[in-house]
Amino acid sequence: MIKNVSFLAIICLSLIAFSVPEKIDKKADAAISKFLETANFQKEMIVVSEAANKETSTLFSEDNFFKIVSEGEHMGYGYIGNAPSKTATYDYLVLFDTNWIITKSKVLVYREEYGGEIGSKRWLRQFTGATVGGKPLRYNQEIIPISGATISVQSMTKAMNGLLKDIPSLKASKEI
Amino acid sequence: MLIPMGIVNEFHEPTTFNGVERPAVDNSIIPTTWRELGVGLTGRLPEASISYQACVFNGFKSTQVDGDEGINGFLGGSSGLRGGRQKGIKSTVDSPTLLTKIDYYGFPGLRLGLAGYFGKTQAVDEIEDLDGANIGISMVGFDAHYGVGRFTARGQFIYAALSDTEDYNALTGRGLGSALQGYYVEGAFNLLPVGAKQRLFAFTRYENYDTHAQTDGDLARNDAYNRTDITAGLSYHIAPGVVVKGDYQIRDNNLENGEVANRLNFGIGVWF
Repeated sequence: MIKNVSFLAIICLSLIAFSVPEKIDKKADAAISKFLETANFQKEMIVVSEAANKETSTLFSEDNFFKIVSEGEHMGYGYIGNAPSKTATYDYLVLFDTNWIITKSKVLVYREEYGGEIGSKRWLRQFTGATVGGKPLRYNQEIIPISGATISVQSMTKAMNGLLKDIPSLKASKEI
Repeated sequence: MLIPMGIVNEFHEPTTFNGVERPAVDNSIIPTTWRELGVGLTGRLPEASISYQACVFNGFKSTQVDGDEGINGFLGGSSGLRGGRQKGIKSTVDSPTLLTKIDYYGFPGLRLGLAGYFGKTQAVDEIEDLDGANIGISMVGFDAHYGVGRFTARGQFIYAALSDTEDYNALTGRGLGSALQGYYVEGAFNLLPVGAKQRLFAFTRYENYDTHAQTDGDLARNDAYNRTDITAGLSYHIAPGVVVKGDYQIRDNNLENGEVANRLNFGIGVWF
């Protein structure tokens, strides 16, 4: 009985963890729309198999990784992630062009008092131009820290490096 | 709540600053650890790389009646506002004080802060109508951090204008100045490679602080309160949250032939 309950709990938790909350999704749509300068776009979900997901540090769910299409034209790709700050987690969006080069990143929701400086548009611009499969971005070298937000700066850098490393392996295993 | 004035009051754990002792400006002018009962709001403007805070606090305690119907003052010439800090639930609450702080972090590696604190001190009801029972405090603070690669620097400037100190001194005889001022600049260089887990900072800090930057009425400025400290030392961060520190402080005041003992400090800081 206890086993069944915990099994159910695990299923429930993983269901929660595996979909982007509506509020976050709406914020992501607004950011994509602003970036593309059109509200007329669709997200075509890229489904990553469970086996491939196990191999990656990045979590790919059924609705957080997608191709962006506007009026039949391929505009690029997007990823919505969740990463830890000191005591909570935050949600972020990364946009790529069709060649998998980062064109935009944005913190969608930040939930604690300290560390929210990583939402700064000018700070996030440091990730723009990074390409999947490229050299890892190093904290305090390519990515300049923000005083008072060290933990979140490191967390965001790690999450971005994870994504930049995982996408080529998905490509290699023909998941994309 | 910790009052967000200057750099060290809000982040006062030993792993966050160089030197065994906190900067003296953060002791004499900003009375760290300075905390008060209060409520506040904070927010951020990601497009502009700005964060803001606005808080309403209880203030410093200025005076109280002692048993023999005399009046004791808590603020003073040498210690500035330090003696007026209150302890949570035992606080005397009289009038609110206001603090606002704005931080800008839009240039890579640079963070600038500007804070203002305004209000009156708190005296108990029996004496609050006496001349000099309370004083007004307006404090402004500017702080800056810069850090890129192996180099870091920080500095701050704090100025506090106190009103009605002549009456306060007449009532309490405490010799409180009418302005407090202090600043410091500090540079540090990490002697270990940037990518290494451990960090070894060599640093130097120059600071000047004066609790008698101005005086009102007959009170003469005491040059012994006008102090200059130069601190140089090492901070060895063995692991995240663990630091071993050592420094030497050359200390001086503005008195002719005034002597302040120099100090050699060693310390270990652990933050978990």
